[in-house]
Amino acid sequence: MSRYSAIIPNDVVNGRGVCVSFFVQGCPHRCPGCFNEETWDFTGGIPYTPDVKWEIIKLISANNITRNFSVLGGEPLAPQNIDMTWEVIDAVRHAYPHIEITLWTGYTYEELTQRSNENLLHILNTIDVLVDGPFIEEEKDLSLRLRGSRNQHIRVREHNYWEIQE
Amino acid sequence: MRYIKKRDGRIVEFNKNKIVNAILRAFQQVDGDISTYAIDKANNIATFIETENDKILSVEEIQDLVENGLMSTKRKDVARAYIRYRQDRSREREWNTKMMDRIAIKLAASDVQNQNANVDEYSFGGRRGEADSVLFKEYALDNLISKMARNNHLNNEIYIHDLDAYILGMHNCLTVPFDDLLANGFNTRQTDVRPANSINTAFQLVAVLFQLQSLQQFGGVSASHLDWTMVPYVRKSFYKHFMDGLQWVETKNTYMNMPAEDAASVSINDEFYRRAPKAYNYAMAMTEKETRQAVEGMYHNLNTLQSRSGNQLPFTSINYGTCTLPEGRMIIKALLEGSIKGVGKLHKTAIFPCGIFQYMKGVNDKPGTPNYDMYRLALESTAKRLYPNYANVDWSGNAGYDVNDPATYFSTMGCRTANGYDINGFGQLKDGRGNICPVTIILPTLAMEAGNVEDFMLLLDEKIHEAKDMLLERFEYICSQSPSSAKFMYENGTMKGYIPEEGIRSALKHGTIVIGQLGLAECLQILVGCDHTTEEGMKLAKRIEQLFKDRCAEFKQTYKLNFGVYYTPAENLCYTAMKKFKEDFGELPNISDRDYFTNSMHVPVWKEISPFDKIDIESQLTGYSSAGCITYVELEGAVLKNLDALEQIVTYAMNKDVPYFAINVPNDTCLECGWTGEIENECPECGSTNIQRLRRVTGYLTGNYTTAFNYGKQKEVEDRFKHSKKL
Repeated sequence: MSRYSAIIPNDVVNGRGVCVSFFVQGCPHRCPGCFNEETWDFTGGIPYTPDVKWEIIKLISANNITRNFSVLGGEPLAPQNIDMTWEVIDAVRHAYPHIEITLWTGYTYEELTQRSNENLLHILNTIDVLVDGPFIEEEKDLSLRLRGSRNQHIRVREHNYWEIQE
Repeated sequence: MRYIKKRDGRIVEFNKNKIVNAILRAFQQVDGDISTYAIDKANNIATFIETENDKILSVEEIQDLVENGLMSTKRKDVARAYIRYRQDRSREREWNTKMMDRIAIKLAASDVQNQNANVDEYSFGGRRGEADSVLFKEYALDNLISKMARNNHLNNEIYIHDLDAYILGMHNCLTVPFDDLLANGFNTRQTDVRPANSINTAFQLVAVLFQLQSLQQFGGVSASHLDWTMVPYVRKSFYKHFMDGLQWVETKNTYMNMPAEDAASVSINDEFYRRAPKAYNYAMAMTEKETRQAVEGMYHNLNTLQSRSGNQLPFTSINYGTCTLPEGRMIIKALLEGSIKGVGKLHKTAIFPCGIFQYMKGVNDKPGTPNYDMYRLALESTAKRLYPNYANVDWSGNAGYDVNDPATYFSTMGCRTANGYDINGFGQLKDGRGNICPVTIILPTLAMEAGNVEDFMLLLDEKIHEAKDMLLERFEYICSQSPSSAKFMYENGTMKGYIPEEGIRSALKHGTIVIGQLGLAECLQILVGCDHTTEEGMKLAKRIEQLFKDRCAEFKQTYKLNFGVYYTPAENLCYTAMKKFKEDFGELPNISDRDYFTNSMHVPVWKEISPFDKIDIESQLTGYSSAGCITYVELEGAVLKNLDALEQIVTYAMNKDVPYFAINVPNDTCLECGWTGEIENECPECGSTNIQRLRRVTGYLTGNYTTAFNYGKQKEVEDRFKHSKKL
């Protein structure tokens, strides 16, 4: 079973607006200079159980306000994690059709389009914002929004089309 | 010939008469007059000392001989009077020596405590001010205030704020009525100042007036609606630029004239101006530029012009944000952009003025409202500069304000002190009013003394009544001052309501006198073993606050003075009260195991709790306070790139009826390259470790917290939990 590293109930850093963020555990990229090294090990963190998604759904509307939802890692789209990631995103989307869901991946969008995985397709058709690409230390730029290095992109889904944003 | 050695070491000739007189004084005190018996005895003793032997005696030895001499007579009562007199004198000498030692410490700045983060205690002015303060405080305690007040103060039960200002009879703070002062001009000791005729002059005068008023009092000064205030002066400047434009820029010359006197009442969007588009565009560009420069000038002045002994900047605050006129919006924009830009070479965060954005439903609260863009700009400034804070114009506690009069909108002093409803005729008017004096009840001390909830409630009630008496005592003392002590204030009506025939009470009665509190969280821990983040703690918290509120409401009616419940800033008191508390009661877990008491009714800073939960809890208590309170949450610096999140949190607080709200984000500035944000050890831009760390204290900011804050506050800052962090 997949594992996750943490849930932040009121994250003001990752995502737009106040978000609940879900950090999955385990990452194959292992980029030098990564801000989240403790999430690399696929055997670390906490085992995922289906209850976790209900917990997330509760947190999104705690205090009678609605938050957005962010999925980070670790690598949410690693083969070991992708089913868990879809299970959570699917449940959140059914509970909140209108919130913004943002997902970070160390794969590039082009790499993702080469893969044929049903849940990956579901995920890409459900989330609103994709931040893609590995962290490259030489390209590091602290002034960027939602990203650590200049090679990474923010892609906003407009129906079936991904638009790159600054 | 006999010689004696004086206290200062000098050897002088023995003077027999001095001994005789000292003894006679003792007889006189006991008998009321001096008998021949007394004269005989005095002479006998003095002669005995003179002729006893030829050793050089010290003053103390001589006094021993006098004592022995008197004791060997039948008048033991006189002997006792002499001994008592001798003890009193020696206590007085000791007091003097101690006092001189303390003054010497302040004069040399050898033990700097940073009681007020804004005072430079090392400077000439600071040393002088601090030394004065030692003397003035001691004088007030020993010679001026009642025994009841003194005991409460010394026993860590009810604290008298700004005791050093007590003997001068100064009041605390004031919202300066800029509308009147700028429109009518004002007088100073040396000259008179004409009404402002341009936006540039108006902003210069704001700084001047803040400065002048701050010398009439010991606390802060504020502007309650600066955007509205400045509208006529934007118009006057616009008119001037427009006329220049007509002359130099507009090609056709078929223009009607408008008298300059009318300029202040004609909108810059008026048809009159629009008929000459080139001159209009020119005037608009020039006015915007002048406004920007005027605002920059004000920021600069308020961060450079030191006042009072102590080399401190006046504590200045400006409220703004609700004016939807084009002129007002120009001002708001300039104020916010100036705040974001920062001051000085490195564009550092301006410490003053404390900016306060007035959030108002239908005006700037959500997309589609006319000043929503200003709210967004305010949020950007907050994320980068900690200012502005947010005042809630719709706050239920400011009910009865006049929507057509911005001087009645909810506004506040930066620290939190607010002018509630005036029972003496001014209603919700903020201008020309202020806090006259505060006291603070130190709740944990009372909780320890009482031991259980019911006894505590009785003791608290008793202490609230004593606090009221202490305030009345000080209020009357302040009222007994001559108006010439604060000529600028009374002559120019900066404090409103002064009627010379009635004395200064006629103005002071519109101000507030307030009962503050410290350490509700620790008090609850003592009484019920948990704080108000739990249901049980909150139940008792509400009961306590209700008592404060009910009593203040009664006092207000009975004495026709504006008593109010105050959630005290307690910048220094949070530390000194804790120090004393530990001496009395020791270190108790969750009560006195830190170096500071929790501010007023706040959730302890170290409590791991979400920003929304913190607001939920504190907003249940803010309604009890009419005289000022603040709620803050701590966020990560990266929120600068996520203004939507910031907006959600501020709007949430406003919707929860929080009157005054502030966000704390780490504000670290690299002193080499000027990079500002959250810096751990070295600047991410240039790698320097020369970092200024700005943090909020009370509602204001100060310089580097590691050098400007007192020890207790430094510890508090280090304990502050970031409410957006992992839970």
